[in-house]
Amino acid sequence: MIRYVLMRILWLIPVIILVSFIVFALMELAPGTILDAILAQAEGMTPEGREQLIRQHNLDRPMIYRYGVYMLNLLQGDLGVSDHTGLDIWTMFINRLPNTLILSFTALVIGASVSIPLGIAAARKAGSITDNVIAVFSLIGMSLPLFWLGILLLLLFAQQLAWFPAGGNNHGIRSIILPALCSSVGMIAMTTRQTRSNMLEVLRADYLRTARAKGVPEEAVIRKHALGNAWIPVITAIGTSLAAQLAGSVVVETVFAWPGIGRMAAEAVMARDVTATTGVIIMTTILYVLVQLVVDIMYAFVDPRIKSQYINSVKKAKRKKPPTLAPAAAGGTSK
Amino acid sequence: MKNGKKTLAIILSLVMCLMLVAACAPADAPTGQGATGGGEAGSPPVTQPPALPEPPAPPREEANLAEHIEIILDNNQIGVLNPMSPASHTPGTNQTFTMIHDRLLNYNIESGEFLPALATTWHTDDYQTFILTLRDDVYFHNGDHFTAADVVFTVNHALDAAGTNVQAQWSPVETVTALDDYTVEFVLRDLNVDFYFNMTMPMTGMLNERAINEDPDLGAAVGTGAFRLREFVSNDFVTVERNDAWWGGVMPTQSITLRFIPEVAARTIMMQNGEAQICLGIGSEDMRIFTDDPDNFFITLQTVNNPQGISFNMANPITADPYFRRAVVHGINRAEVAIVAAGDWGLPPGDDEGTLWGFQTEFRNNDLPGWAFDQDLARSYLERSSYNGETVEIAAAVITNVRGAEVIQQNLSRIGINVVINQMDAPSLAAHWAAEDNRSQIVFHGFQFTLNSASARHNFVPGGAQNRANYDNAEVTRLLNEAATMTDRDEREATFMRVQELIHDDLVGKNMMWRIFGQVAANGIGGMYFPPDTHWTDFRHVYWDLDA
Repeated sequence: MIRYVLMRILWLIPVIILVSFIVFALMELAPGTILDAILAQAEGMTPEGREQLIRQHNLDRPMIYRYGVYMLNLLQGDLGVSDHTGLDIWTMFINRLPNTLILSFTALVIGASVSIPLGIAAARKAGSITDNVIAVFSLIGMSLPLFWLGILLLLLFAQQLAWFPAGGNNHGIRSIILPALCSSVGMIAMTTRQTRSNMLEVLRADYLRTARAKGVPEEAVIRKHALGNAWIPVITAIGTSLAAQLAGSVVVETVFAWPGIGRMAAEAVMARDVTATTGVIIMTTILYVLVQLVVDIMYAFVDPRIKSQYINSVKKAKRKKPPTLAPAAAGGTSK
Repeated sequence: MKNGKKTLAIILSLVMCLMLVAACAPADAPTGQGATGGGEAGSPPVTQPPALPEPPAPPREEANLAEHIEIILDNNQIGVLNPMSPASHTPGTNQTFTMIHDRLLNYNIESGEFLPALATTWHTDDYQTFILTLRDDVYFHNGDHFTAADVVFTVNHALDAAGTNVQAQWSPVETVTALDDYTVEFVLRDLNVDFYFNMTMPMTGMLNERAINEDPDLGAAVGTGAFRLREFVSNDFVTVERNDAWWGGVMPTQSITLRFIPEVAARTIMMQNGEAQICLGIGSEDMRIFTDDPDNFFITLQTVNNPQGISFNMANPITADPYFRRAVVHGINRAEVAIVAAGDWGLPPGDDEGTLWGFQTEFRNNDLPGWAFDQDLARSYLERSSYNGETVEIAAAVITNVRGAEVIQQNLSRIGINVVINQMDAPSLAAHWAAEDNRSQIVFHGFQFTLNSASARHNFVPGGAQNRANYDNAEVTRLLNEAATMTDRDEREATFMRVQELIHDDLVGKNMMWRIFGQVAANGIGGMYFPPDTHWTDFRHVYWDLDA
């Protein structure tokens, strides 16, 4: 298991190199540079100041040179400073990360606590009116544009009912409800459908029919025997949604003025801040991979078959491994 | 079961529609005309300079004042609190600088006089050497005593701040010397009569060297101002608290937060819910919610100093033709542009308004003939031009300008000019309009003027940061350069009048509208100061009388 985890973490290195290069290349292709973003708001920039900025940001050098300088700094663990604000990118990211974590995990809690019971209920009463209602709402949830939904939530719960604040994160737990609700809608819709289809498959399995025939109560059939086997695809769905949210929900964070990393990335792109954009995307890539890794590890806890697969694969690897003993010792062994 | 499903589908659809209608309905249906500027479409109101706002009145003596005030910023977020960063060019940042920093001089925008601030006296014999005497009772927020050495540090630090507005303000300085603890001498490279004005700009506040060395990110926010920094999250909010030891007295409010809220609907709701007391960026569509609720809110309006209009690409063969440019400006209905682009918040220039100058910028030439909307005249100019039916591109970034460009597209199609619009974001526009890669014939943008006429250089001198026309008239450049050295006010005025004549005759561009900014405030709010030039917006005196 440890070997598997280490391998996955090592895979991050080529991923980061590839991602950072793609970001650099895309920012290079986009019209405008950091200089243009500054010029768009400058009132009295002197020609000397303009030349200084060009040299400061190596804009007179090819992209590959700037990328090389960036990667050299990254190798030393330095994400650099923002081209636009001059602030340390790691500090900016760490300041924003808690907001995104709070938003993502609250959305996850809402999403999981709503979608799993709904999915089970839909599966248990497949074809009934309950199933159809849940199916319609899932479809709506998947189709709704987040921007539109966010505005509707604001108008209903903040303006008309005045239950929650409209923007910012300065009203404690009340601030998180609307953005988390908005973020969770897509997750609820997707996970509900996933849970329903998995449960349906499991509920038709022979071993459950046997359990029922033996007189096991229906609740116990669902809870003890069905759910355990239906979990894995659900965990995958939830894990993917969580990872996507950690990577930053630009729309939700913008509508609700939530200062998370999604907005930070969007602001960096708008300012043509290549260093900040690359830094944020590298960090969110790492987060994404780590969340997926945790999800993979959770499989082993949920399903003993997968755990045994891990163990078997490690044993196989050990068997295939050539002996690494010293020649004398190796000779002794062969005798 | 089949019927049940159908019924269910119908019921759900109805519920969705009802939810949508209920959520979108305003709390109270708007009635009547709001307290807004502008006029009816097709009947442009005569442009009148707005009355300058009175300096803020202090609160009543018996007022029950709130300790904290929340202010919502519009699209001008505060990315950094360091005037030495190019990211500090937004109005929100300048408004914060005004609260936490002090400048050497203040400026009375009504009289044009310079007023004492950190400097108590100022003197020059030749406009090249300036001697200022400083107050001796000023302390930074970290307790350090303010002296002439801090002026020397600030100016030298600013001169190294590449590409910033603060570098531009101090750029005329050759040397700055502390003659003693409270006397400082500036020697400029050339004679410059605008130097006093430069010293009044909000980004020129005095900085503390120790604070900057201790904290490179936030050390520049340690000033001598009426408020000190309490908390700052880049591009989110800044909270300042009152500096009770300020040399200028004690301000009425304990703490003020400036918060960036990107979504317009959220700003409106925050005001309605009482989450904020002042909002700088209410959309014109939502403004009537507040004008119809005078028991709780009031609105202040001001015409923005910067004209919004078109620049012709003088380096392009089509728009280099003066007949073509005349055809375009006579072919555009500016009243329609203003109404469509900005609704009630766009004020079209009058047909008699010929100059291209800031609304309140000094030495404005009001005698230049305008360019009346006359499509027959436009057609006759077009016939005399070399235009052969080519497609003309208008570049625009912000949404109001894009809407304006769409009206221009329709107007010009009626006289036979084919127009396409190239919409992009602001950095793309700046890159797109770079002289060496200039692909559009016309750009719809904001010209940038301060109250000082020297700011015309940014718009009309080659290399100027906002010279979108790639305009290069040697005489205009010479006059603008010479104006900076003219100590005689009449001579200087005559020079700027002449510059405006030349720009008018060359028809470099044309203003299409004046933007009107409306600020919503909760009743009981006072002490706000919103001049036409946002550099001088001042929240230091803001208070909220809870009993009002």
